[in-house]
Amino acid sequence: MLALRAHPPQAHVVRVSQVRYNRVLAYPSYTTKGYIPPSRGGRKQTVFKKLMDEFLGDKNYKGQYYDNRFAFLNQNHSTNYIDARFGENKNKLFAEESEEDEAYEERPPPGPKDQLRPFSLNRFTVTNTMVSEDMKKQLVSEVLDEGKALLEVAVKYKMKIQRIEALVKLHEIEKQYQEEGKITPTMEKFADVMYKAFPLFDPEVHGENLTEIPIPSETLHSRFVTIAESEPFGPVDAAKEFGLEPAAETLRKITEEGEHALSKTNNAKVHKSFVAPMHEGDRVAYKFTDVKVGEIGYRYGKPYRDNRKDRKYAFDNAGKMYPVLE
Amino acid sequence: MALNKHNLFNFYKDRAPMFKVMSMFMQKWDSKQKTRGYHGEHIPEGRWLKLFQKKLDGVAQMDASLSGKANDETPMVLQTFAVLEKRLDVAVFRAMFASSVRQARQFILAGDVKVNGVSIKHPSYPLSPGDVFSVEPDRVLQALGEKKPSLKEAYKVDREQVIQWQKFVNRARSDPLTVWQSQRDKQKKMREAYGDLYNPDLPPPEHDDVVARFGSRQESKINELGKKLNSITRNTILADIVNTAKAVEGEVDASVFEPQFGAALAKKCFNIYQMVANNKALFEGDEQEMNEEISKILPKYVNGQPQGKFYDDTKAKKVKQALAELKSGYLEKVRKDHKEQAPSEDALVSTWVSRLIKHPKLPSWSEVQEKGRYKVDLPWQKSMWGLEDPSKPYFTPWRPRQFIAPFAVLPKHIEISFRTCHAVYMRNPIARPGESEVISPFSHEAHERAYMYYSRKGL
Repeated sequence: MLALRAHPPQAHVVRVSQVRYNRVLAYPSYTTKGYIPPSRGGRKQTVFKKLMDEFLGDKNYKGQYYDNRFAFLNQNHSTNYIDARFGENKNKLFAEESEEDEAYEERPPPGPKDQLRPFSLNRFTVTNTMVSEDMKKQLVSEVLDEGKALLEVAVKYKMKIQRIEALVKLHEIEKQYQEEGKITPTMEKFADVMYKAFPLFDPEVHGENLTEIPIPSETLHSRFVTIAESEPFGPVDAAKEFGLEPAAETLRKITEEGEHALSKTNNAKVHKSFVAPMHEGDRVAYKFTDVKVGEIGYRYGKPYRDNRKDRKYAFDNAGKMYPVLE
Repeated sequence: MALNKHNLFNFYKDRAPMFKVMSMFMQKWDSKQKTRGYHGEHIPEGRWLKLFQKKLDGVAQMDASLSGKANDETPMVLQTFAVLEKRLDVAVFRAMFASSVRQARQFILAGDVKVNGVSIKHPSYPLSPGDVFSVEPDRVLQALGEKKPSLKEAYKVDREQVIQWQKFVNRARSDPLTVWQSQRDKQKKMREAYGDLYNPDLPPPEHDDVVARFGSRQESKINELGKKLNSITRNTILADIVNTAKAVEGEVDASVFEPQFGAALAKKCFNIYQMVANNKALFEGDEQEMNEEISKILPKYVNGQPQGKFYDDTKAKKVKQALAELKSGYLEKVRKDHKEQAPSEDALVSTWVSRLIKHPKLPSWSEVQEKGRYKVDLPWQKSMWGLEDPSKPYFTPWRPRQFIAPFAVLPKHIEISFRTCHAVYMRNPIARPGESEVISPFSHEAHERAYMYYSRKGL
């Protein structure tokens, strides 16, 4: 009763709005300095804003964040990514060294792969490396002038055939642009800045694996076969069980015929066909082939829905989009 | 996701979600929400559901089992959004020709993107392996370059720059040595702090203050040397020899001449001294008499005729010849000495200060607004700030935008030529042991749950 008197009935507020869930702040509700920032120019300052301003650092009158190391691209063929091993406030360029810094410096330096990882939460994302101008020149001359086989060059540089083809293609475009005088000094500067902002390709460190084959979808699921205990069962037997060709054969196709070789075999439909026996008096032989109605001819009763979401589109040679009739 | 400082801050502060305290659906929902905010956030959910494929692409490495090493896991679930990477807008963004997917879309819709030489105006155009796509270079420079300032912004910065410069010149004139020293320290500190980073405000090496100083030092040194060499004649050398010998009390020998002429030439000097030692006019008269006597030995020539009185005997001729030999040796010595001797710091600073010129006052803003331009002539900047070429859509002279470094990731499935703004789409991104070609800032766990969310039945 006493408690009720302490809160007179007028003070009771009925909450009309419904609280669906409690909003949880993504970041702690305090700053490193431990206070909520005062309002600035009549506008309420939020903790988020305060934290961000602390992170970004000071701006000079030119609008440049001169004090933040992440504001600048590296120019010594290395990356400038957020290092997960950094503590807080390791982004300041002009910060005075503290005891923590000294402790940090004693830690082992990052490995060659660490500086290729841009995102601390995802170790599987790795940046590519730049092929140095010298290596590019040498590689292109080996392909174009000496006429070496792509596979041979790929093995030498530990680089995928697709990448070598792309490098040659881009080299030719660059040559053409240079002849036509289309490359302006500004473009050169841009290219130079970007070139120096990434590590250079070193076949020994960054070499690509040339024995990669696509994982067949059949192998993504388990399949159980009953065999005798003494019966030998190896990868080739497994391939047979899945109805697949041996991996070595797939690899040979990819290296010799290119990546497209696989998709062709997969997509090429083998239509059953037979030639009907001829009878006396027949002037022609009839060949019957199984096809799906709709692929040839129009399927009776099939709804023609030109407003469906996953409608198929294709592009003609002029880059114009048109709907594919199904 | 845009290459933007706000996004960078969010990544910097991002921590792995606390899945342990979440229900399964919360985990899936949270993961889906986060990953979709990055992967194709411009695509409506309904459309994405049609695009999503349960089957994910990966590669197996055949030599993995032969190498004997433990196989790294293949992050298949990171392929959840791989179908989107085929789209032209995403590929243009991945090739770093646009600062966000939405900007890439704008470039495509404006007709600035070509695929195999044909302008494509559909952001959803699916690229196939081997396609070459290109973006208008000016667009790329705009996307990755610093924002172009408006006339007012440029004027504000330049006004501040001019004020700072006038103050600096005043300070330098009133106290050259201190300002010189502090400027040197400041530049040294800047160079140390930025090291290998690209900072356009750092003076480039060839316009470096140190180099400029070194250059001016060389120049002033050369001028000084020229004056010195021109002042040396046979007459002055003879006068020097006589004066040196006069100053000596007692016996004169070769070592007397060493301080001025060096050990190598001292003997020659002594020989000349011996030749003229008996000449009383030289050694006993005053300075004027001495000069008259010298001009008799070495008369001035006008049109090949000697002027005034002169000696024409063999002794005088011998002296002349010896002096000519000595002169060439002496000039060489002076030149060498000058090279080794450093100019004084004071001389350097005074030449530096004398070259500092104040900037004329900038016109008022209303005048600038009327004209649309103004003139700037600062030592490091010869045109309006960022508006060297106002016709361009980016900051000129071009410089990279700030805060793109942590986002700059070279894709593995696209080969880029920044020089021509062309790129080759080599293949659809795939997952291999220990690596995924789909670029994503989110963890394997988040992708796993997002995949679970989309691959469930009845969605």
